[in-house]
Amino acid sequence: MVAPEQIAADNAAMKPSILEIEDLVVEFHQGNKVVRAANHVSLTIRQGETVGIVGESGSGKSVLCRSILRLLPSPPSFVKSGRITFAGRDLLSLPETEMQEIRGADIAMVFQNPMNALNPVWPIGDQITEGERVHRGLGTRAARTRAVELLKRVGIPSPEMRVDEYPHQWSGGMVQRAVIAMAIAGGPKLILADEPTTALDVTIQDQILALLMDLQAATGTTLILVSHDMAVVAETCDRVAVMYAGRIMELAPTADVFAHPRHPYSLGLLRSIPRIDGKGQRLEPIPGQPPSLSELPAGCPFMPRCSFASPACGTSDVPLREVAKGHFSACIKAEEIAAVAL
Amino acid sequence: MEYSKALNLPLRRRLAEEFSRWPMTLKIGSIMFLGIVLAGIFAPWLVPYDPYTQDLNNTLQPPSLTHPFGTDNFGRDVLTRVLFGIRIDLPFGFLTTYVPMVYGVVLGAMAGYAGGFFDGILMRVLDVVVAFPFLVLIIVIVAILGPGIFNIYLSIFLTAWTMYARLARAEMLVERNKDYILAARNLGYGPGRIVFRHALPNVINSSIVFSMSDFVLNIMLVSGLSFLGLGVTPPTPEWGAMIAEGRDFIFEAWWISTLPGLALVVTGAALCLIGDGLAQRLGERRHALI
Amino acid sequence: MTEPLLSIRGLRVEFPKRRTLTGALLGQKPMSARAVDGVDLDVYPRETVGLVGESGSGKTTLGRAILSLYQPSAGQVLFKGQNVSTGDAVARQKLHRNLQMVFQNPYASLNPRMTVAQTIDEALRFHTIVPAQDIPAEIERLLGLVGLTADMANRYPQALSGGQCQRVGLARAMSVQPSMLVLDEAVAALDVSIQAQVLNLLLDLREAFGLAMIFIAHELSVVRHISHRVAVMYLGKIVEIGRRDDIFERPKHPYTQSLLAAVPRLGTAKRKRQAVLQGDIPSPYNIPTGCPFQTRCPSVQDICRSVAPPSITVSADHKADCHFVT
Repeated sequence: MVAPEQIAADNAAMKPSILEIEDLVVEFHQGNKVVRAANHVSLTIRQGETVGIVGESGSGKSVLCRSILRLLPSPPSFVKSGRITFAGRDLLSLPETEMQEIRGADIAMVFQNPMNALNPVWPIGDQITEGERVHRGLGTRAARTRAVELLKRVGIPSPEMRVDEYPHQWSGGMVQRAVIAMAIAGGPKLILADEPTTALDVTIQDQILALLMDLQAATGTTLILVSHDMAVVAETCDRVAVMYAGRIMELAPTADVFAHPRHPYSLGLLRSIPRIDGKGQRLEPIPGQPPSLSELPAGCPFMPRCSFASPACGTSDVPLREVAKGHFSACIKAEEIAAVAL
Repeated sequence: MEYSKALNLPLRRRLAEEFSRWPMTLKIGSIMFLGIVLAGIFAPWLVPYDPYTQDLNNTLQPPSLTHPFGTDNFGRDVLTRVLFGIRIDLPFGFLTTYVPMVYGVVLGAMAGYAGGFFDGILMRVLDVVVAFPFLVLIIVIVAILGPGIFNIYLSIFLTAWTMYARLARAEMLVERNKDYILAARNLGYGPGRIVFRHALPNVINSSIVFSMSDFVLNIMLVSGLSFLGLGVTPPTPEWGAMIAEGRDFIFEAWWISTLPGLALVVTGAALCLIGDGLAQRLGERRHALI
Repeated sequence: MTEPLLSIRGLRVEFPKRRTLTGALLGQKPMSARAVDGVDLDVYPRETVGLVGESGSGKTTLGRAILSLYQPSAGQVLFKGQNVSTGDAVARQKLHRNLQMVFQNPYASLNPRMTVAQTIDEALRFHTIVPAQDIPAEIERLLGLVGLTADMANRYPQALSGGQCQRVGLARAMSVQPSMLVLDEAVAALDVSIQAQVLNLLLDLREAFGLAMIFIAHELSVVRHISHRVAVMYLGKIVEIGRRDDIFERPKHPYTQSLLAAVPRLGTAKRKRQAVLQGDIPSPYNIPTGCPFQTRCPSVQDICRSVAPPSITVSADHKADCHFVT
């Protein structure tokens, strides 16, 4: 019998793609240093799926997310090469005005710090519907009704009473719900959630993740969830991309990555996380520090910290390749790693 | 010991490294300012004239090769007086800026760290000083003690510290809750050590940046007061006094007022550039922390 | 039975909210937030007690009150039998030496204007830990202890990575030879691969120097990894305390149960989520009478709204404050 998640994955694989990132290189120019924050990233997202992007700070996960929406300031950032295609349109060559339309309606973003994502001197209701008032000419009264409806949908109790309140009157979890309400207001096809629960307590994180998954199930929206927390990704995503030093190291269905990682970096990460159901056995941290993005080593960037490294790893770029069905890894020894128990 | 070796890195190399990180504004401003200071120090050797000796045969001469800035209504060489003016205006600006800054920052930092009663008292004193119009104060002092540079010092020392106290207090209120201060408290260090050794170097940046524009304003102030007749008395070669003296001849001899004014502008520009550059350089250091 | 190293009795810490003048004239009652609301806790030598709870639970305030960075409004903290917030300056200084803290933000916990060597040097000199001529060697030894090389000594904090800063903070704490460390979210700001390095380092130091630790964290998996006993805080109270495995495998308090259920787990596949708890933690200015958890408790009864729950002893060392503990 085929496992239900396998069926789901196969179904997802047949869906048309909604976002294609091809060979994206993003650089930051800092003085005379060039920091390569995204290094030949290719990623295809299919309609309706949830893709997790995990990585440590400096891995390029947020940069990747922001370059989709062209939200990175330039200078200092520059897209050196690559294409980002969303629903058949090349986002990198769109004029800014069309990009604004896309940001308002088709692609929405949920940020890490909810308190910074809302303007403190405006009522929450006004902010949620601002996009619709600007882009669709929604009237004041209709906007208020709409705001109440949206707040109800994201689970704010008695929204009629609270629609005129200000962000500081709400808790962090409630503000994050409002931010999500703002994101779904335009009926987006794609939601980019950049560490949406990192600033929140675990019980509130639980509520927000449940809300995101509910909304997604109801609307069929595609969701990209950026997180440093592997467990969050494990429980919410269909596929996961593991990033390191601006590259995707491994890309596969979530269960595959967490049960049988095929890249030494993913393996190292999983071995260094204390488990909530663990017995306190000694952790096996990855030795050393991530490389400086302005002085990346030749070949595989993980090589200096990798216990499987061989001289061949340092000679040329190691591209992402399909090592099992739907399972991509950027390691020349991926088959060997797959045999290693966690 | 390996680490003590590294501490003794040649001073020259450390200075060179620091200088290489300076923004262009800071470099240009510093060079200009250094030039002005040197011109002041070597004034007697740079020009052949005396700033006080009158030459009534050569009054109101326009700029020429012998008198590049012309002469004034008593036949004194204006360039000479401008250069000697540096010796009056710069030390004045320096003292009126940095003396109040020292006790202003110390008071503000202590009040900010201690909080409570001491802070309350200081803030009320501050309010009183700030509310009192400075020019009235100076006129009162001058009226009682007579005009002269010392009385101006006195009145500035009484008032100019308030801005520094405010700045240092505000920064200290933020700084005192930072973890490194808590760590210092937790190591048993006393408040004196914490305020002066740990917090002060971190709260002084904004005061240093502000002091550059304060420096300019203070030079302007003495010039202004002298212009009004409240400051230095003639025939002292002070820029403001010179501008005031030349006022009567502004149509037939523009150089008497304009060229000391230009010196004032150049000095102000140099200080502003330094202030701008410092803000950038110190800010950079702060950003590196985030 | 051994004497506890640290013993907290009935500790309360309150933060008064300033009334506005008009508020005072209108007869508003002065309000105060009860951040820590009657906590009893013993920590024994060589023991690590994990302190978990959401933000607003008072765990950080409790940690700081232990170090007398906050004054308690009632109760006391005894360290080796001595009250940490009374006594003369010399005695308290000596006491402070024995009780050190490691902070959350690795960069903010170091003075940006002092090099690594200067930071440690000052602590060594101030407490005359070693004779002056031995200080450089001692600094090198301490850096080695926390896994840093001697060439880090002359760096400023901004030239270090987060993990390295945290190691320096540990070296500074260890320099005065404490018998207990209070770690306030000490690994929360670090990336997972670095976090594991620092956690292992903490275990090594604990082993080598017989340190007792209070490990404050919101990340339950980390707490489980490092603690011997765990105290769960909610609205300023310890609602459940017990040995690590009791808390994580046999939690009795409904709050602990919900907290554990809310933690995402690596082993599970993508699942349909149902949020385990609704709503937020109430404001500490407005703590409900009766059980503090009544507003969110999935199995709340009438009695919870009026009577504060007693502390029920479940088994040796395992206590929970709930009317319905079985």
